[in-house]
Amino acid sequence: MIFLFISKLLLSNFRNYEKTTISFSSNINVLYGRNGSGKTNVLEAINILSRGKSQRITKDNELIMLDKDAFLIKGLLNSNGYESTVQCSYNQGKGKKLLYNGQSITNSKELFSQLPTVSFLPENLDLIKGGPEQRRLFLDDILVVISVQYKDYLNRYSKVLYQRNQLLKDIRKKGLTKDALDSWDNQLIYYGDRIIKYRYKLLYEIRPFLQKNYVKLADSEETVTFQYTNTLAEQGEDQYDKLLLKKREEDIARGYTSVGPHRDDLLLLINQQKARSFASQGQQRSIVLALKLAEVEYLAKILGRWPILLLDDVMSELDVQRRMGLVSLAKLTGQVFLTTTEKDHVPEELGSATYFFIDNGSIQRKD
Amino acid sequence: MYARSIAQLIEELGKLPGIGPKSAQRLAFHLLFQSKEEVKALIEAIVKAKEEVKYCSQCQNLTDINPCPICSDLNREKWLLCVVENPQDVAAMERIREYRGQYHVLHGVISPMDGVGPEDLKIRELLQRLSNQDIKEIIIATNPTVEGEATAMYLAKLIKPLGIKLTRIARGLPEGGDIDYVDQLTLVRALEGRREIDN
Ligand SMILES: Nc1ncnc2c1ncn2[C@@H]1O[C@H](COP(=O)(O)OP(=O)(O)O)[C@@H](O)[C@H]1O
Ligand SMILES: [Mg+2]
Ligand SMILES: [Zn+2]
Repeated sequence: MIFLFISKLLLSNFRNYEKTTISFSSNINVLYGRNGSGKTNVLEAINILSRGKSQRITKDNELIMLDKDAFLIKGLLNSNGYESTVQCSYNQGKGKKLLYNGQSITNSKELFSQLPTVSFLPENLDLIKGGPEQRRLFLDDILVVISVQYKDYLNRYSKVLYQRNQLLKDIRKKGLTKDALDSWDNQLIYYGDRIIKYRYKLLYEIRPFLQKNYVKLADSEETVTFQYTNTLAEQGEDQYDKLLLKKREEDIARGYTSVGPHRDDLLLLINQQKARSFASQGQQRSIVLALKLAEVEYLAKILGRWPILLLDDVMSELDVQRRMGLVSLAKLTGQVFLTTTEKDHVPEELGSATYFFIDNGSIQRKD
Repeated sequence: MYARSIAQLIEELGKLPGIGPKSAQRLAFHLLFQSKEEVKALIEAIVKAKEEVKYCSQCQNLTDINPCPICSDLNREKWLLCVVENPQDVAAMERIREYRGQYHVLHGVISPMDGVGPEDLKIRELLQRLSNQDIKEIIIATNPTVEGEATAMYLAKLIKPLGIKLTRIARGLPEGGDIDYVDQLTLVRALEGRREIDN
């Protein structure tokens, strides 16, 4: 396994950082400071180096410091002692440019495999309580960064779905012939079928990690697992095409496609019961943490290096026991970045952490 | 603010596809500083094209003589027909100078969200042609988008019962591309679209 970490980060006219260079520890980096001081901005910059774009916003323009016309983020990476650089710049006139060791990169998956990251945000803690789209997104976000093929299937599937749903409405309103659905159903099945297979395979791979992490986090022996709720199988019909045909009238009436991977869900179970209704809030959070850490371990296995963990403001949401559990498990992975408003939310026992005080766009390392 | 006639010119140019307000301004001023003769030549070319260009009664391509030069070329195969989305696709096929059959231009693809259904395409004309002419093979060359595929499938359903041989162009690697340098997506699609080699 390659040990990867970001040793240096340079920010120029990025968000509220005019010009900053920071040296990081290869272990745990704690960024603390008041709300609005610029902690999340640092994690966002690292995320951009990893994925080629921000996960917070869609317009690169907003990332540029007010009244400036370009930003630059540059990271110095260390992988088993070998140094390399990643760089992302955005210029209002010329657009975005990604460089790895000075070479231009157009495919963001290449970046990710050099510098994988996993983000952890407070809203992730509601994964079990929230809607099914969040749980599908959990799976899709992992798959799209490791498989170009999956990303293509998913893109095409959503295009076909969009067209099909429009056609369903047209059939109802304008009385178009129902046969018109055939040429879309064909493709829906082709891509949908493959998406489901990819998701099953991913779940099969992360299942053992989930149980192991949960036991460590919760310090209890409940069995934690999940079930993929497949809307196709649920209908007691194993043939996709037959089911779509059976649902055709209902779909036309609703103007919406009722079965397929876009309606599937991930059901989390604790001792064979639904975690959503049976687990306490504390247990639910342990399950989510264990699931996120399973994602980290899975990516490490696939990519041959630990992803960099970006924990944004999650400490304040956890009780003391779970803070301890999370940090001690995170310590076993690669480099970690952790933001918090309260320095003492980070367990003292941690020992090896390096602290950075952030105040209004300036960073001070506290050694 | 611009004089009214300039503003109007900018507005008209801005209606063209791919022309934003900035480009429209640039074009407008470019035209204003051209000689009267040059501007007249442009206007005449536009009006002439608009008046003289019609759909070819056979292939539905845009032409100023009917039937178009391709349809009236006696050296081309009469039994082979390639169905494409638009006139640009005919031009692209002709540039490679390998294909010697006929064309049929659909002028679009099926796309419910753009309000385009089969009846908005030149499909009726295609079927009419198939009943009048002795076509033995049809190549469907719509683009490999989901709309292009849906259109290909729709056509296949109509044509199959007629007993005409039907093929679909493969979406694959760009010619001359060294596998190492081909964009990953192109490569996964090429893998996906692989077919059995029959000898
Ligand atoms: N484009 C920008 N230019 C200048 N300042 C910005 C820009 N975008 C965000 N900011 C500033 O960054 C701060 C928020 O930073 P953030 O990292 O989200 O804070 P926190 O420390 O709470 O995580 C705000 O003060 C905001 O005004
Ligand atoms: Mg924040
Ligand atoms: Zn013609």
